[in-house]
Amino acid sequence: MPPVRVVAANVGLWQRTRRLLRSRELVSFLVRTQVKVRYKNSVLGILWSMLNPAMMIGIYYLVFAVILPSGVPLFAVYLFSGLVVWNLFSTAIMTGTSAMVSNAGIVKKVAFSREVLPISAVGASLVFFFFQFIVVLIVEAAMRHSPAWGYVWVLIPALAALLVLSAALSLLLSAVNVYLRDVQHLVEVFIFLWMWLVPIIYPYEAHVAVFERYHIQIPYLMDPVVPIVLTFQRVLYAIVKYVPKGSAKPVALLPVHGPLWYCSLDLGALAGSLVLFFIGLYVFGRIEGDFAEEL
Amino acid sequence: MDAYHAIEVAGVSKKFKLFSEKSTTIMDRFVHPGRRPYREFWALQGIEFVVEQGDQVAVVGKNGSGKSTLLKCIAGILRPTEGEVRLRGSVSSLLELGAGFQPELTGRENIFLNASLLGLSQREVTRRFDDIVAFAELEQFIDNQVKYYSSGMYVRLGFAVAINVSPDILIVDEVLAVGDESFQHKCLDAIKAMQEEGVTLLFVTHSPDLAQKVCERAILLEGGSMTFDGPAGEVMLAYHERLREEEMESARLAAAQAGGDGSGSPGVTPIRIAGAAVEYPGSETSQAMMSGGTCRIAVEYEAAQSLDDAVFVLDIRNHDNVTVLNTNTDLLGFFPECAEGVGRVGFTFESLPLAQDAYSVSVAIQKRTTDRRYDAREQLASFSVAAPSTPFGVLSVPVAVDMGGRDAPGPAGGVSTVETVPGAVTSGPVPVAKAGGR
Repeated sequence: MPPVRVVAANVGLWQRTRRLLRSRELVSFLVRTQVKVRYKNSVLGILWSMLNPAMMIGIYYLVFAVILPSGVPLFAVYLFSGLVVWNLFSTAIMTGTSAMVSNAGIVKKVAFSREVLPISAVGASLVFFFFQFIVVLIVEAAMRHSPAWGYVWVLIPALAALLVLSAALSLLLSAVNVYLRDVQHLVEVFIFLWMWLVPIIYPYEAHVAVFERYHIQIPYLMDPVVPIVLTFQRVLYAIVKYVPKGSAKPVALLPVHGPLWYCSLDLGALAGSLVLFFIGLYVFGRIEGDFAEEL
Repeated sequence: MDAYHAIEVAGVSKKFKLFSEKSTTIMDRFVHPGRRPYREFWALQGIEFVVEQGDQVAVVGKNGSGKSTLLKCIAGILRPTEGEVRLRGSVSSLLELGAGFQPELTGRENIFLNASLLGLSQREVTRRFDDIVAFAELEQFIDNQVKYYSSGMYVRLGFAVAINVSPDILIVDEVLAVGDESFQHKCLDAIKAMQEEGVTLLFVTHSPDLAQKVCERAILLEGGSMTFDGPAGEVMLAYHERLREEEMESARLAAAQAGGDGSGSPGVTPIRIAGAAVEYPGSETSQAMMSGGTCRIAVEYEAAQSLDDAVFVLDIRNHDNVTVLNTNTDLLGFFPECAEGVGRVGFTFESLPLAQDAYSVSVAIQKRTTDRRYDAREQLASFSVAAPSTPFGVLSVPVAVDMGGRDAPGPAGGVSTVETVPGAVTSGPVPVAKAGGR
């Protein structure tokens, strides 16, 4: 006798997690589909996902090295090593938030674990992230700039934390967005605001300085994205401090700590994200029952 | 394999919130704090039934009776507000048009998408891909984007995927109505084949023929509650009887609202129809007559003055609204002389060999040799016919069949007689009309 599948108002978190784990193949299929759809009907196709960041780096280089010199060495590389992380995070959350609404046709007609939709949005963002990451590596190789090899392994917990965090927020927001369509517009604004709270465009030390100037005692490393971004910058950019022109005093760009410091912060972010993920899964499960009628 | 309960529906209720004005922006929530005004609506109430593995069950009911909601709850697309559904085995569902396609993707990609959503692995989909395409007859268009497909192509593809993922339970909602006849036949054949393989089938239909062809059992939903559960033939009969009653009720209401306007004001109309009754003399039950049995339809009239030029017209129609018998007193050589007051004209059918169905009786009184109509009442009465064997069509008469040539013995001289004449309008067996006094 085949196993029983129950359709009821409440399905336990444990059963939901198990169903989700069984849908791995579906997630990978949906990720591939999303990547394919994105570059459908374009001549260069998937090449765009590398061309696009390459051209962006070129523009940033032009702006910050030639037009508005910031003094920071290889500013385009600094900027981009943080931006790849942010791009992954923001596209994951923005596509994840609208995942239910944009896939309404499927949600209304087929029964499956709907959690796979926001999660596969995160997966698709990860694919685009890899292309951008490769572009950064190519640019670094072209500029003969070496990453911090001793720190490379810390990328694993950092990336894991980033993916879990994105998945958690996507789950939560996609479910709420079914009922309150304003969410997807609010998310755009909040993501933009959030980007300025993370040291991507300005260095970490400037970030710290601002908080200290206004006597804000909140531990800025509480923002889980900050240690993740810092880890990527530490690995890809690898310049911790520099001496500005006409000054003898070196200026710090990144926190001066060993890989374990970075790793422990990332693991902290991962732990927090995992908690958030299960909260997201729970909330999603509570309001999922009426998706098909609300869409 | 031992039979087990493939579907268990235990006390399933589903509540919908009908918002008077759909407002889903945060601004509206701020402007109207507290709860949004809504009306609760129970689409399903306490549905309880069990389907054995390998059984086929039809779900019937009027529009808005909760059929689709029930199927969606069983398929797992909606979750019941109360109660639960327990399913054993893989489920494939085809609800409404085009089972969840992405218009931007090609037919090929959509097959993979849909089959993956239904739980198939990539390898399995690859293995069945050619079967699916062949079934949908979309070989030439499989690499076109689905947004360019016609609705027929959509349905064909959806159905092809739904049945080719070899589910244990198949849930189908009224989709067979679309598609040309040959495709419908193909779908029916596929369903029959699945039936033999022991697939459990649950489907919504409005067609009594289809319900009885495919299913042995049917469930009738009315206003979100289950009112009948039994053999498909009986349930379909009850369903059509119910529809007929409601139609007559609304016709009566409309007539009452019109205030006799349709039949002319009482002062002007010299004669009007007061009612009609159907009796089955010699039948044990008053619910239905046996096919071939005797039936008497008595038309009651009320005359404002005495008349000798009234012609009583009788029109019997089946549930498809096809006239199976139309006759009048003139044709029968009967010329009633109606005295002032109430009276009746009775039509007796010695033998009425109709197929199993629910029939309506419409009556009109006309003035002889003119176009003037004294009164007419649509679907004034109804009756049901039960037949031991249920051929499809209009008639139910004894048939002999054999395989011999011209010399072969047999009552039909070797030629099998056609049993049914679908849609044929017959003048019917000649009834004997009698006019009685009051």
